[in-house]
Amino acid sequence: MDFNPFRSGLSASREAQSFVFIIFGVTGDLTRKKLMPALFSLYAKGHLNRFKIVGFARRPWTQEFFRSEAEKMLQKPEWLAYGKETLHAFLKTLEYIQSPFEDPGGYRQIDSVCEGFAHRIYYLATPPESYGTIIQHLGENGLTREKGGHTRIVVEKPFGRDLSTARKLNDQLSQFFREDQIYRIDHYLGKETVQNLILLRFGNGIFEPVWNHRYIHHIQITVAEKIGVEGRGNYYETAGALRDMVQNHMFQLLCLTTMEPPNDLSPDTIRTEKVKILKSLRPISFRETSLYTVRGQYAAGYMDGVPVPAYREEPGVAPDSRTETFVALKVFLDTWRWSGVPIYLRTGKRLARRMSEIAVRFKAPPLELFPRAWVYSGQNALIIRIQPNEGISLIMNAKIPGYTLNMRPVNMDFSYGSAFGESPPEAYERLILDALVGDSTLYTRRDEIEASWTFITRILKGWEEDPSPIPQYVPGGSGPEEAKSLLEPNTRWRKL
Amino acid sequence: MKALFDPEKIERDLRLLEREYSLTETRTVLFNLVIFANQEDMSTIEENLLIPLLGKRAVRIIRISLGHVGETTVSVSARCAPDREDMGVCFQEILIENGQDNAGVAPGSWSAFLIRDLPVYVLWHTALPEEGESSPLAFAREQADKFFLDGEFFFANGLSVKDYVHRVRKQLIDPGVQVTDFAWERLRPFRIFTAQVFDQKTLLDLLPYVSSFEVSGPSELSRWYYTAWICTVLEDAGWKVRSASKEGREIRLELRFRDSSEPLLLEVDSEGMGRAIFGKEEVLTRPLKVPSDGGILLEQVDIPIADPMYRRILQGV
Repeated sequence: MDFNPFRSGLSASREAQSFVFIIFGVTGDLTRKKLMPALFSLYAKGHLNRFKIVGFARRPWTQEFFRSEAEKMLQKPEWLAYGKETLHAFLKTLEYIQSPFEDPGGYRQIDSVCEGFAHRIYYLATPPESYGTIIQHLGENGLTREKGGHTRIVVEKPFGRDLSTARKLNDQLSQFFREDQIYRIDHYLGKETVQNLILLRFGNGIFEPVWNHRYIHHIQITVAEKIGVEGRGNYYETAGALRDMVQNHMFQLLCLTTMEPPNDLSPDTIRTEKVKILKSLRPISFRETSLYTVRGQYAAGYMDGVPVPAYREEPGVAPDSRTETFVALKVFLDTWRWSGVPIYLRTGKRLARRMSEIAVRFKAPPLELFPRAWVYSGQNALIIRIQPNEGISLIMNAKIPGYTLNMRPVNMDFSYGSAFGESPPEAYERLILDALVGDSTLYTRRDEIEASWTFITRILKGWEEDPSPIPQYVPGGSGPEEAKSLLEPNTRWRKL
Repeated sequence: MKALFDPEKIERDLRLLEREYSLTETRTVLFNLVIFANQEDMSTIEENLLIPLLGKRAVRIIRISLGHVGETTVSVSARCAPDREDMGVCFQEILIENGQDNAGVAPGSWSAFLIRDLPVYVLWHTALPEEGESSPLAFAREQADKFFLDGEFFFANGLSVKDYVHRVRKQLIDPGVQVTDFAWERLRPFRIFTAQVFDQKTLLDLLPYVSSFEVSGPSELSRWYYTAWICTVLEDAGWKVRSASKEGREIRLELRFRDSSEPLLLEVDSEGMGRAIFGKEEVLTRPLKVPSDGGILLEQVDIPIADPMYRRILQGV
């Protein structure tokens, strides 16, 4: 028999079937902070069926020690509320393989721990330097082949540092895994608020007719943070805002905002539409970077009244660092729909507030019936707030009560959250469950990664060639003044 | 004739109360919930169903409390609880105490309070009329997008399982109303567990050889629902099997196979762990998250349709 008749009518419940989840680098922070809580929460909520979680790492831990460490990771009251028996039943599923990533002996144990389970998922929770070694050993030991079940691999970001490193990693993966076995995780896509973008655009008929160059003046996408590098100076020096935020998170927002309606909701259809957007980005040549990009570094100053150091004074950061903590871009999409519409992206650390939003500014009415002076900052805008206070606002002009036809903009606000006063699942819970059930919609495909790196790498090259000093900006503001130079006439950055 | 209430004043009072009880901005009301219940049951409904909803869904609640002496009265109240973003999630409440004049159950006494264009959910927690019997249920049925019932309540109040199922079918299912029975939904985790057990290929392959099964459980209605579900599923797959049921402390299923003396047992222990045992081997253990009634209501108010399997089972009676 192939079909389980008891499943009929129970399709609403999303469950992962008989699998082994193998975490490489299980002793690291990612497992403690994200993976173990997400897996336990999925288990306690009834989304995981028969399974085993296998930790794979160098540290000389025993299985018992791994279980006791996992227990320590699950001490928050919300997890303890599921009861001791649930926790202990979950801990019983944990096993540990102690092995350096370079040692084939460790990999040889994998088949035996997976015995009796149909599917397996490898999760690379290691520093990216180890990815190649692990992939190679999995492949060479025949562990990527599917034997009566799925074998999938989840790869954490950063997915390369530029186009060539991303391609190299993709090549390594595709040597042993088919593309549909590879799940490149961008946790930003696991956020409910980001997924809401798809529903907002394609679940409502009112936006589509005006969602094009005929009605839209420009788009601004902002992801602002209040925090600095917070002790991650070493890492940040190798990344910078463009790699850390734009190549992945902000490009996902750009794609979801501008992509064509997909024909269906299958992962590949949606991802194909996203790739079309990334490929339609008008290239910025290395000579044009100063025209279309502005970078900056935060200086010393005050945040919430507390003195904070300059980026170059942070631990792990070179005193002459040229790594950007702020970047603003002006991009164009060469598509029928978006031709000529400037799209501005900006992200940075130590800005006025933590917020992410997409602002779609509409053109003014074709005929100016009302004298321009009467119109206070004129145009309509649709603001899609990703965080905080997720929701949408429509800025419209309305008449000021009185004897004249004076008007001013007013906000029509809607909070999505207004509907639901409870916490959405953690991004990792959603994404892990998707990988387990084989839904790759919220994961990034090879061509998507490479299309985004193609665009970003040109900018990185341009910056390398550009000796001019990096603008410094005051903490708690909107970033460097120079960012204003990107804007077209009569356009302003939205206030943070 | 004295008016029972002034709708405009009631709306005004609700707005004022909401503003008074929410220190911050408030969330938008999402749906109407009309509760028909005997006055002595209102506190149980409050505790089991409404409090779990507070702070999670903003709702207009119209309580029609039955069995009061004297004239019908109408009063309003509001309460708010902050959500995770510190926004007030409020209940706008209208309490209609239906008196001996029976004015409170008249459609004109409560339909004016429904917020237009929002879903209307009716929680029916009073006598379920027989076919042809005059009852406010008829108008409630017209207004409702979905009906909520708790079969155990009717069962505890003397209706037999047969009569209950018959009335639900005739009064609600056949006229096309979406119905959620809490008694059915409480079984959902165990139904999922049953399906999970048969996700294992070795056990799935045994399914055509099921010769009989026995369901135990504390309530006759839940045993009936679970048995009807298994019979429907197996019949759809082309097999007719013998079934029996008996009283037991927790829900439990024992399946017997042709050509095998070893039964497959599915049970849930008092800690909420589901266990499947085949012969001497424990083939599946997992926590069953049995939702509270409030949890069921919270889930169901976001889904406009009811479980189609429930409808099928009742239509098959």
